Amino acid sequence: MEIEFVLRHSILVVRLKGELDHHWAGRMREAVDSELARLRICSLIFNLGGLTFMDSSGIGALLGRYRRVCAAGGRMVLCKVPPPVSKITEIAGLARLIPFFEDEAAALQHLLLGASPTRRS
Amino acid sequence: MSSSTFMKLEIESRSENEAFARVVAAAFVSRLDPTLEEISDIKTAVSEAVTNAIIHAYEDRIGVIVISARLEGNRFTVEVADEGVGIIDLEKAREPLYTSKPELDRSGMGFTIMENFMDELTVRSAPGEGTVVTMSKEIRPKIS
Repeated sequence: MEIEFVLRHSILVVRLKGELDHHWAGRMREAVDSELARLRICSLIFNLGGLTFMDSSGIGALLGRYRRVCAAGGRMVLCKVPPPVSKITEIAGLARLIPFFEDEAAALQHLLLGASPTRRS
Repeated sequence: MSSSTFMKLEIESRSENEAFARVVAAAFVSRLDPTLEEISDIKTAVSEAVTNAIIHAYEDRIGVIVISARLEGNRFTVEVADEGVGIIDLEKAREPLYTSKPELDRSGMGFTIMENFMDELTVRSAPGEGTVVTMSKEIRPKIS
């Protein structure tokens, strides 16, 4: 799995590529948490567009980041949920907790201006 | 043509083997010409069962996980077996969102995902002896 970080207006954009399973979930968690600590920021956008696989370990890792970010007073949203992972996010009911957006621009707009989610699943 | 065939794979309970196990299951079922969604469902369900064996059955030691699969007609059946600690309360373990390890960011969705992504799920477990998860799925024949 590959993780790419981009900083946009004090919001950390995390682009995930490849397969997010138990093996990679722990590595992703450590990488994201240390990047947030290093930058001293607490809001996150996860771009899932490059994911080809995700199981419940990935769901757990995303929920864990969501809880952490909220506890620190930040916000977290998801964008570009690709077809191979949309079924598991639906079954897990992830959208009931974390807003989903079409792309990074819409997610960023929501976090900066409070615009409403373009899509809920 | 024979309508039944099987395979068996033994792996160590290391997290890097999760991807290996699900790719083998996907390759095995591919001869039934499954859709991308059916392949994805099977990979996810196998990944959940193998991850459970690694995290819960063997916890902090390395053990053996045996994955056996069968194709009978259009039905794919896979069994994921370990000789780990076993599950004391099966009913509780299968409840959505229940996890014995919340500190590890576990979602507690494993069995729910297996149930949703496969047609049938059976779990047999004996404390101290191990767990066997059996799942099956009908691969719908394509209209050609």
